[in-house]
Amino acid sequence: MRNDYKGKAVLITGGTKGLGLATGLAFGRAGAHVYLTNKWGSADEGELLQAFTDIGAPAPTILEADVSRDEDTKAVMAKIKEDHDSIEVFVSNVCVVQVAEGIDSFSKRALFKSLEYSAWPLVAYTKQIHKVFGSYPKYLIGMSSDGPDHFYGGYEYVAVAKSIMEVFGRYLAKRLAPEGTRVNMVRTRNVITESALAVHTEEYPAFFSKYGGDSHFIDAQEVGDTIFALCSGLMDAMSGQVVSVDKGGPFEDNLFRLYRNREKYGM
Amino acid sequence: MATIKLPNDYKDKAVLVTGGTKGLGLAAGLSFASEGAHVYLTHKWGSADEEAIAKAFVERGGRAPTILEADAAVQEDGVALMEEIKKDHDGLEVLISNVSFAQVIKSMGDYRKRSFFTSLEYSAWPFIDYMQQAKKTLGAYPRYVMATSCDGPDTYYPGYDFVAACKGVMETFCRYLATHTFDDDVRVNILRSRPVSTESLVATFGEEFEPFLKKYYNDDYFIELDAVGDALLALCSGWMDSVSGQVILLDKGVGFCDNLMRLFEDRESYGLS
Repeated sequence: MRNDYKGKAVLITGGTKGLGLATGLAFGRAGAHVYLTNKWGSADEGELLQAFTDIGAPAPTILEADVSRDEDTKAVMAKIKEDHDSIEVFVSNVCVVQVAEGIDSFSKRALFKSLEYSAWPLVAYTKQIHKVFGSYPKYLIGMSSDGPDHFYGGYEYVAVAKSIMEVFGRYLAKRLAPEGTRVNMVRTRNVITESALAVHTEEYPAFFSKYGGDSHFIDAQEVGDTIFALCSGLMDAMSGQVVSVDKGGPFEDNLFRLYRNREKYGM
Repeated sequence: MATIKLPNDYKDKAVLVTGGTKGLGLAAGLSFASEGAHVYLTHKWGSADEEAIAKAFVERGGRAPTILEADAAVQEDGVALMEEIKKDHDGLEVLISNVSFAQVIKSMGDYRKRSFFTSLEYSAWPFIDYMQQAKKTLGAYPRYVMATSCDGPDTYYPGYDFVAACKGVMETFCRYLATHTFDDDVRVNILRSRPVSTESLVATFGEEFEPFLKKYYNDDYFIELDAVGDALLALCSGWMDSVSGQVILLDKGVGFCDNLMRLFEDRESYGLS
């Protein structure tokens, strides 16, 4: 049974760029009324609206909201309530990267800030949605990464936040099952986004391509489409799961692969 | 290890290690021998240098092991082995299922059911079979049942398709066996290790392999044989009797960061750009 998203409300935090935007477009294509939040007011609204128009999607509503502030969350819900009686899909996508330098610079404050922005909103938004609409979304999606299981330089705080979100996701799946809500998490490998380049420097995509790590990079659209599939109605028996969108990359990203191809890579 | 006394006393207790005359199995045997155990090592191909092995055991302060030929895939060999142990012991304290023998896969064409089933017969089923034989002949399961595995099910090793699949099968059985036998005072666990620098590693990947890994990681890439033997001993020490049905990874944290991101971070020191 496939879901009809025409006119349904879909909320995506951090939705004006990268993965969030790609997810918004995937639902927009199906006719959903997509709400995208952003914090920094950096969204070029004209360009955004054009992207939706180009694929024949209804215009999205863009809202400024800091995911760590309850007042902002309430305001988002009030705005959606003006047009909708319920939220069909909520995608918790915001991730604020606190780069960890070394053990001496680890700080509880940086950890807590990371959790406030990158883990807790899955819970806070879900609670607020229930409070305002009287029902939970049919689908909750947490945007995660393979950081908990694989090394990324300086990504400690992100990885911790993601693993916490995944654990909460499993529990929410259990708790909200009687409400008919599915909760799943999507893990992605790196998408070349502004924030990734800022963390790893401009050199890094070329380095990965040179050493055959092309599967390291995932196109944002592939993530958006995967999330749409999870909410399509075709996978309603799945809940509490973590799905990796990684082209099988992490499995073979090791010295064995490099050794096997050492001549090709000049190693 | 001898300076810290283990809760369990292995003096003259029977410990069986399959594929025990080389590599990981031998290291496991040595760790138990140094606790006074009577270690039985099996091998298949008759290539064991019994004198050198006996000497190594004595040097570790243990008694010389009993070395027996047994094909892990042949049930009668397993039965004969248990009969042999029964001559001197009322029970088997520890069983370490270590034999692994699987077809190396070069391409999809190598995927053949028959060779896969043979791989399972050698690399997964003996774990079950030896447990059953011990119960049948000696009247009880070993108190500690262990098997050696690797992280192949989760990360890429060239040609390891069947090895990894067999290890995965064994690990699943481990979880189930633990539930079946916990009330019988039996612990079933699996120890995964990352590559250990052994003859068979060179045979599989060639001479250039080790220098390559050392160049692009460092000497820590490899796990020491003794570390595997000691970890197996720890799981059977009596300190970890609440641990059962687990798969424990021994890799010095290497597996987590063996990726391109690590090489990129340290690209200057590796001369990569």
